[in-house]
Amino acid sequence: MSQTLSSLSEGQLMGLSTRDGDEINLTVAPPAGELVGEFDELDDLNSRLIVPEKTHDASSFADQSNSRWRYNGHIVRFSNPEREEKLIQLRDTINSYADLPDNWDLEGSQKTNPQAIQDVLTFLSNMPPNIPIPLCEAGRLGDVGIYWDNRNPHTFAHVVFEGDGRFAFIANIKHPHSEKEGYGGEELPVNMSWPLELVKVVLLR
Amino acid sequence: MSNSEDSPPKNFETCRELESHYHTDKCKCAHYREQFPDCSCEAESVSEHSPGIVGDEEVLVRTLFKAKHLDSEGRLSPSYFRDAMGKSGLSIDRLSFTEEDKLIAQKRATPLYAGYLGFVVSRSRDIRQLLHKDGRRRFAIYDTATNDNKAHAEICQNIYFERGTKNFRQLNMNVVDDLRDIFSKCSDVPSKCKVD
Repeated sequence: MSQTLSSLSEGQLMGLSTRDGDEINLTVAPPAGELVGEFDELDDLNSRLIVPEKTHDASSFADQSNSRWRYNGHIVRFSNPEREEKLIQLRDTINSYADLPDNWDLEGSQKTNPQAIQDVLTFLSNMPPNIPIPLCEAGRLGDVGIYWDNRNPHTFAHVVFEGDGRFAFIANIKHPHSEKEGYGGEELPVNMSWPLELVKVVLLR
Repeated sequence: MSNSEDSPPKNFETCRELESHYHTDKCKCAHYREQFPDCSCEAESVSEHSPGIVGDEEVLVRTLFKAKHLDSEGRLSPSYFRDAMGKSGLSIDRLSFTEEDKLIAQKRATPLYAGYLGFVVSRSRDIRQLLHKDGRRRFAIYDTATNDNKAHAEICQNIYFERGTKNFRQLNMNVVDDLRDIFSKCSDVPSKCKVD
């Protein structure tokens, strides 16, 4: 389903730069930019790349947000220009919902709740690095949603933000000849780590 | 559109009486659920203008007047279906009782038309086959024809989870997910929409 950092070949590596002393950018070619890190493999990565670290305690990689992983106070950032461009477009689209007037769909929709926009952006800031970029939507009731709709395998995940600092989600796996396998949650704070069930379904390939 | 949310519900002996009274009401589907549960009004024609109850093989067309609810593949966003059918119903046209050109001309003549028309379709059988976990049908389809549009019908949620119900958000999101799956991608004319 996913590769580990140890399988990142040197051929895929496009660049290595240091920013602000502690932040290390590893720019890798697609699809390597969507690699999933397995923290116990980082020693191997470090042995092949010149990473200015003093110690190598893989267990200290704990704080992951977007494509940034913290390691002993240093931040390792995997960047994929194509993915980052899509993320910028996603955020721009979501921010543009603030300009929608009442009845923007001519069917009685409400203006988008500005707090719902902030909440989804907060949630996205915690997106694990390997998650495909979702689609987004303005809801008719002033809410904002993001969703993933895959056809093979058939999975669907939907996260809705009403603007109260919380979110609700469903994550479904649709088996061809049996009941769908469904997960979900609601009243969850937007600044929490992404629910594992959501990540699992979105990553299913 | 009238709204009976704050007024006491009236009791009706027939589905047609209910439809006649609440025709444009924002909570019409709630009245159907309360007074004629389990889609029972599908068995009779609810409008004097109707050519007959909606058959299982009929193709149903939903018209969009804005493309805002469409994703890059032409599929409706999930929230498009949320809320409306629980309360006021989702207006559709029965393709068996209109012609495509006539339908398009009719939609262009409505006050909602602002330069864009899009269409998504589904088959009534597929909508009726959507079941909740307890076996109850999720949706009902009523032949709510009008004097001006004999092909008009509406989809109402037969099960609706009100705020306060445990996990009502997830439950309603799953209802929407099921319905979205059986509507086609959007097209500029109904005949281009692919329905299984």
